[in-house]
Amino acid sequence: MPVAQLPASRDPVSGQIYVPPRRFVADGSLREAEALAVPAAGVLFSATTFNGQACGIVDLDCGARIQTLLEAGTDRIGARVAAQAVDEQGHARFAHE
Amino acid sequence: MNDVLIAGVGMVPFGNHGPGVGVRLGRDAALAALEDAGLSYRDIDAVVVGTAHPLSPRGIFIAKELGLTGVPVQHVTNASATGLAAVHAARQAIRCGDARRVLVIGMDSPQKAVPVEELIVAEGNFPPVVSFALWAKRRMHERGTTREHLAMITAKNWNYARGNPFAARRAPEEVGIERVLGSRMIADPFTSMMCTPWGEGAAAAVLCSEEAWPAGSAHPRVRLAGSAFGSDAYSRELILEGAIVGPPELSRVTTAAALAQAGRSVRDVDVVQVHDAFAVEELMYYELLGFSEPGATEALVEQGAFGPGSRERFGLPEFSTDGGLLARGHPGGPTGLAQIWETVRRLRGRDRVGVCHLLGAGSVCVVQVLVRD
Repeated sequence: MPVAQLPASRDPVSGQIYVPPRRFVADGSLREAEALAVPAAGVLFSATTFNGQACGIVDLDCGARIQTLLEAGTDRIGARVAAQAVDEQGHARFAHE
Repeated sequence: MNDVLIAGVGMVPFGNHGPGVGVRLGRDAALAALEDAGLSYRDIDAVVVGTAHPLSPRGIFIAKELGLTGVPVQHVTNASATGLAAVHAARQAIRCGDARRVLVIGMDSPQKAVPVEELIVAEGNFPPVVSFALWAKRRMHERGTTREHLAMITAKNWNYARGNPFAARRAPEEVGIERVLGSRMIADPFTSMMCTPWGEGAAAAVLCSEEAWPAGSAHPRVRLAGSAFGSDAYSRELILEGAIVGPPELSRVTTAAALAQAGRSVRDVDVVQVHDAFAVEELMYYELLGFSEPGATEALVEQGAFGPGSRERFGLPEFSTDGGLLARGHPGGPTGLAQIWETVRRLRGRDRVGVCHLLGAGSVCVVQVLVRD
């Protein structure tokens, strides 16, 4: 199955990757970050359910950590997850691969 | 730099006061603090008011209830950390000599009944309970922490609140872990009793320089010996969107800075108040603040450490001795002042060193160290 791409940015000097993208890098220098897209795939760091909605934290393969919606039943911490689509706000819903 | 002392504290009960009563609550807490200090509003030369809810009234309206003396009135807001952030601002004014006596008021009762969680979500966050449930689920995965451990901490704090007349949640009977585990599930693994009730309320303190200590005061001198303020620094663990707070490491760094300012170590600390809005937080702060090593904490909880008698039995401080955010309540603006109220109460007794810790959405962290002479 195809893996969606998430909007991101990167510090051209340190290589830090920011998801969602930041205009400026983190070090306070006001250096502009470069826009890029990263695969919506990684490892499930944590997961819970609130009001029937599955939510989790995913450590993306690019190195960034995100908090995100999950497909129902996506609860195996430490297992691979990926998203196949990204909505208009740049958000994805991850499920086990 | 001037030393900063706490001459008086006061508060009103936390709970469901409803909207539109912020000025009255703030005024009443301020009057209690002034009475405790043995001062009148004429003796105050600066006011700092903290509110977390954007629809709570501005501080100037509380100050004008107390008098029209022309003193500077500063309004501070910094989410859950608002109360300690207001104390931090007052401390700076005294240290640099801008003020001798500062009245600090924390208050929240919005003019319209808009739930604070609704506002947090409108800022692009998941509900706070989600972020902290994710902390808990990860900890359970990594360390074998159980729901029973979370229930033990929760029951401890609910039982402390039974002795606090200002607590929002005062159980008529001793609370056991079965009752905690049997309350309504909110976000796995948290039941409703493991989550703060929020609410409304007010609390206040009078800070002063050494030479402005009230002449007739019979209280022991309690010093605000350290106050450290930090925010998220970049790390690979930092979540840039949706999480209410950043990596837990912020609490470790800020606490170490506050203790260093005070010239104290964790071994000196008798009592601690923390941002225990959700049960897993207090468990993690035992380690992050330096009182326990990873791998030992759950066993300490099982043995009753960090509760009544902890200092004598384990050489460890008691935590959340007024019920904490879980049971005393967490109206936002006044929460930090309630921590100061409780710590001063304890330090006027047999304790010598206390620590107050709060996180604020975004995230920020404020930690203060109080020391009795």
